[in-house]
Amino acid sequence: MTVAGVDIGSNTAKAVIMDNGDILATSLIMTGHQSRLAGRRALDLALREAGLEEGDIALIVATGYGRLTTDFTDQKVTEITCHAKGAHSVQPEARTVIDLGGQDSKVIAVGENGKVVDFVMNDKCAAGTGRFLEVMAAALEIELDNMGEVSLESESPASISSVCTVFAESEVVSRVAEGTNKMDIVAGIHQAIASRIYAMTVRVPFKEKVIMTGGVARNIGVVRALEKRLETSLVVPEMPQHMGALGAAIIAEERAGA
Amino acid sequence: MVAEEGRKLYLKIDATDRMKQLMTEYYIDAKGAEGTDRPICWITSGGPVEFLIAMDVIPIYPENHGAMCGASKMGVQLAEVAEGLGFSGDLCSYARLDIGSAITHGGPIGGLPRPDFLLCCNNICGTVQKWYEELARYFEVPMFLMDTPFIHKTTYEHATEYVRKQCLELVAFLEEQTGREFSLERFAEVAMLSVEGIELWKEVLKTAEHRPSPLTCFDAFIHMALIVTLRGTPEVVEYYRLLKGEMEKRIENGISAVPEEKHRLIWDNIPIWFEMRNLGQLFARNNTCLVADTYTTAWAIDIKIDDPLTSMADAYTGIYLNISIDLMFEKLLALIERFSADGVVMHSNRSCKPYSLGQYDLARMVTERTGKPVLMIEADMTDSRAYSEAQVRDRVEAFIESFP
Amino acid sequence: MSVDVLSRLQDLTGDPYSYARAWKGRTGGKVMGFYCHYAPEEIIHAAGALPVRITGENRVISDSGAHLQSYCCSLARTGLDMALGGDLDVLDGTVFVHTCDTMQRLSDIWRLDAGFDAHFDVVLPGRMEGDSSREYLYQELGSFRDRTGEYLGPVDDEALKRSIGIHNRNRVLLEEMYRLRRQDPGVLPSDEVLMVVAASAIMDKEEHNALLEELLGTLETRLSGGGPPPQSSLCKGEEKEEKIRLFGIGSVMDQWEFLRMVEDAGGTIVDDDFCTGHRCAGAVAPEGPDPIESITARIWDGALCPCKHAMSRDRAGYLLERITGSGAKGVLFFQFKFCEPHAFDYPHVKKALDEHGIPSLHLEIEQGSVSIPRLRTRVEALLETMRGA
Repeated sequence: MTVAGVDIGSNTAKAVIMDNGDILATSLIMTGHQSRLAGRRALDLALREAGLEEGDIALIVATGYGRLTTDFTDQKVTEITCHAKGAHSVQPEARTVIDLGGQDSKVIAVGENGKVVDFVMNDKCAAGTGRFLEVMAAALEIELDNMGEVSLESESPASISSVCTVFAESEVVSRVAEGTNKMDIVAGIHQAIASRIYAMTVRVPFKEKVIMTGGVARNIGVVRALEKRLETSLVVPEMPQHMGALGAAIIAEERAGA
Repeated sequence: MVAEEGRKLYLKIDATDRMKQLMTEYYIDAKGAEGTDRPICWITSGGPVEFLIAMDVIPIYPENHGAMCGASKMGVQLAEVAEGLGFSGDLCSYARLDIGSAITHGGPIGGLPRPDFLLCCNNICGTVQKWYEELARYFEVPMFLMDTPFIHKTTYEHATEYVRKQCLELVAFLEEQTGREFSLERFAEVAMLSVEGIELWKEVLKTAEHRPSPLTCFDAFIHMALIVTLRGTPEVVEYYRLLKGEMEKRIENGISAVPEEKHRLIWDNIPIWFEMRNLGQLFARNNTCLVADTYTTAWAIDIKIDDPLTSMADAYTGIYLNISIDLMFEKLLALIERFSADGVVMHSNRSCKPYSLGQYDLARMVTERTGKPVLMIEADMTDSRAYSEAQVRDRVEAFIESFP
Repeated sequence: MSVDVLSRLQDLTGDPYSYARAWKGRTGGKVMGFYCHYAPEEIIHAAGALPVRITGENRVISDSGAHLQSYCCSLARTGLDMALGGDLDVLDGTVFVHTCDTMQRLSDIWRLDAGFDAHFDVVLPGRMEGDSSREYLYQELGSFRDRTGEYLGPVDDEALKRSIGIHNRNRVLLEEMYRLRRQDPGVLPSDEVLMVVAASAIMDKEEHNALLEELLGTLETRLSGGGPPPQSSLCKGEEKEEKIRLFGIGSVMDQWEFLRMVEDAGGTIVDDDFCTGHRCAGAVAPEGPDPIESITARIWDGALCPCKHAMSRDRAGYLLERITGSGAKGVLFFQFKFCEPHAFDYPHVKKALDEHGIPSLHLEIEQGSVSIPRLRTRVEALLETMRGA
C-alpha cells in the first residue's frame, strides 16, 4: 500500500511517499505566496520521482500550517503530532524533538510509543526561527546557508543579548560598526537562539535523547550552540526538514491500514 | 563638546568602601544566621522594616539582591531558570531572577539565606504580592501582606485606619513567628534611628542642589543600599553622616561629580543596573549630570517620632509608587525646580508597570508645564535582553545635543 | 424561541454599545462603564444608571499608543484606544476597581485623558482574608455608594436591596446555564455560553434575566431530547465523535472566533474560570438588612481573581476541584500577554494539573493580533494528544 504525507510550512513545502514503511520519494519546494498550490506541487514532484500517479496513493495526510487550505488530501493532522511521529521513526529513543522551522519553533516531549506527551511553541516572537536567521544574515550581508560553517571558526562569540528580532538586528549592526569579526557575530547570534530555545526546552521538560528537526537543523552552528547549552548531543536526522511529511506519511499508513 | 580628556569621568566616593564593608558584614551575618534561631524575614523594598529591626529579625531584601545580580550582569542567567519553570519572560525581572536564585543559589553572593517568614507590602506594586506568594509556596513559610490602598485623588480615613490596623496585625504576626514580645519602647527607638537615617539621606541627596553637583543619581543608586536595607540601625546613621560630610567637602573644594557639568537632568524609574556604569560615563562624557531621581527619594518618607505607629502607616501608604500620576507629577515638578534641572530622563522599564505606565502622560505634563524636554529610554532594570545599547546611546546624545 | 434569544445576544455582543445608546435614548439615564467583574454593579444600577462592561476589542492600536507602552496588556490598550477614539461616547463615566498595577495606572490615564464626565475608583483591598480587610472592603463600598450618589443621585437601602435581588437572580440563572452545560455540553456551544454571559454585562439585568429564562427553558427541552439542536454545535449521536471537554482559565474571554475554532476542532469549553465567564455566575449576595454588607459578602466569598491575595484559599486546589466537577479532561489557559497576575499563577497551577495527569495548553494572546490558524494548530495538537493519536 502506498501513502503520502505532505507538510506545507511557511517557507517550504515537503512531500514523502511511502510504501509499506519504505520511503519511495521525497520532494521539497519553496512555499511562495500560495500555500495551497505549494502542497499540490510538492506532492506532484514526489509522485513524478516515484513514477506514480495520484490514483496509486491510498491515503494522503496533510500537515503544516497550510494543511487547512488543501483540498487534495484526505486527512489533516498538526505538525506537532507529525514531527513527533517522524522523529520517532528515525530515532525511536528520542524523547524530545526540537523543531525549528521558518516561522515556528517548538519543543515536543515524545513518549516511548512516538506519541506527544507535551509541547511548547513560540508565540509571535520570531527569535529562534528560520526567519530570525534570515534577518540576521541580511543584516550581516552573508549567505544564510554559510552561517553554520562560518560560526564554527569563532573563538570568542560576540554577545548578542537581545531576544527580540528588531533589537537583535540593531545589536548586530552596531557590532559590525564596532568592527567585530563576522564569524564572532554569527556565533553570537547562534548563542542567542540557543538560549531562547533552551528556555522552551526546559519548560517541557526535556529528556534525552534529543532530536532536532526543521530547516534550522541544517545550520551546524545552531546545533553546536544548542548542544553546549543543553549539555547533551543532538541527533540530526539525514533529512531534518522532512520529518513532518514523514510523520504524516506514517500516520497515513496507520490509518489506511486500520 | 565631548570631554574625553582631562579628569577621570568618574570620581570615586571615599565613603563607598565603608558602605561596601557594612553591606558585606550584613550579608555575611545574615547568611550565618541561616539555620540558627535568629529569624530571617524577606521583605519588599517599600516594606516597614522598622518592625523587623525592633524585633531583632534579620531583614533580607530580594530587590536589593536583584539589583546586585543585575549590576554583576547575572540577571539573565538566573531569570532563565525561572523561565524554564514556566514563568513568563514578560514578568518582572527581579521576581524571575529571585526565583532562579532561590532554586540554584546563584548570583554574586551564592543566593540569599532561607527565609523563616515573609513580609510583603504592596505599596510599590501588585507584582510583589504574586512574587511573594510564589516564595511562600516554594519555601513553605508564612507570608504577611501589608495591604496599602492606592491613593488616586485623596486619602480616605477608612483606608488609613485599615493600614494602621494592619500594623498591629503585623506585630501579632511577628510575635507569633519569633516567640518574642513586641516592645513599643524599642520600636520607638528604632523609629527614631530610622528618622535620623532618613533625614541624613535627604540631606545627602540635597547636596546635589548645588551647581555643580557633588554627586549624580548613579552614585545615589549605589549609596541607597543602606537606607533601604538597614534603616533604623545606628550604623546607617553613622554612615550617612560620613557620606554627607564628604559631599559637603566636595562642594567646599569645588569638586563636581561630572568634570564639566553643563546640563542637569532628573532620572525617573529604577536604574538599569547592568548598564549603570556605561550610562554614567555616557552622560558625564556629554557634560551632563543626573542630579536627582524619583527612585532614591522614594525612601525619604516622613515618620513622626511622637506617633510612630500611625505616622508610619500613613507614610508607607503615601510613597511615590502608591499615588496617582497627577500626584506623582507634583513630586516630579518639585524635584525639577529644587534641583534646577534642564530636563528629565525616563527609563521606560519593561519590568515595572506601576512605575512605567503613565510615563508618557507624565512626560507631556512636564513639557507642558515647564517647557523642559523629556527623554524616554526603553530598557529593563536587570534583563539585558530587552536593551539595545546602540539605540540608547544615539538617543541620549541626540537629546543632549538639543540643549542650547 | 431560544434561537431568537441567541441571535439577539449575538447581535448585542457584536456591537456592545448600541444597546447602551438605545437604552440611554429611551430612559435618559446615565451609562457607567467598568472593566472588572468586581465592580459593584448593584450600586450603579440602584442609582438608576446602566453599568456597562468594557473588555477592549480586537483593534489595531492608534491613539492609546501615546499613553501606554507596548508591554502593557492589550485589554488596557485597546480599551483606552476605544475611549480616546470616541467609541465609548455613550458613557457618562467610568468606575475603576483596584485589581492589578495596569488597571491602577489605566484609571489615572483614563481620568486625565479620556474626558468622561465622571470617574470613580473603588480601591478594593488587595488582601481578601482577615477581618480588617473585610471591614475595609465594607467601608470602601459604602464610600463608593456615597461618592456615586453625589453624581448619579442618592442610593437608598430599598433601591439597593431591589438591585441586589435582580443581580442575584442573574447569577443564579447563569449558574443554571453552566449546570445544564456540564450535564451535556452539546446543549449550547462554548462561544454562545460566553456570549450570553457577556451580554449580561452590557444590558439591563432584568431584561437579561427574562432572556435567560427563555433560553434555559429551551435548553431543558433540548436536554430531554426535544426541539431542534443548536445551530453551530454538533450534538452527540451524530457521526462525529463526542467533543472533548475542556476547562478554560483566564481573564477576559470574548474571542468568539477562537471559541468556534475550538468547537470546530472537536473540543468544547464546558466550564471556566474566566472573569467574563463563570466568575459572573454563582455566588450571590446574601440578602439582609444592610445591603452594603450583602455586597461585601458576595465579593468576599465569591471566586477570587489572581489579583487578590488569600493564602488560605489555594488557587490550584480550587481550580482542580472545578475542573474535576465539570468533567473536563483538559485545560486551556487563555491568557493575555503581559498579564502579570495570571502569568505568576500559571507555573504552580500547571504543576498541579501535571501531577493529576490533566493535559493542558497555554495560549497567550493580544487583542488585535489573534491568529486563529496558529492557535488552531496548538489546540488540535492538544486534542490529538488527548485522543491518543
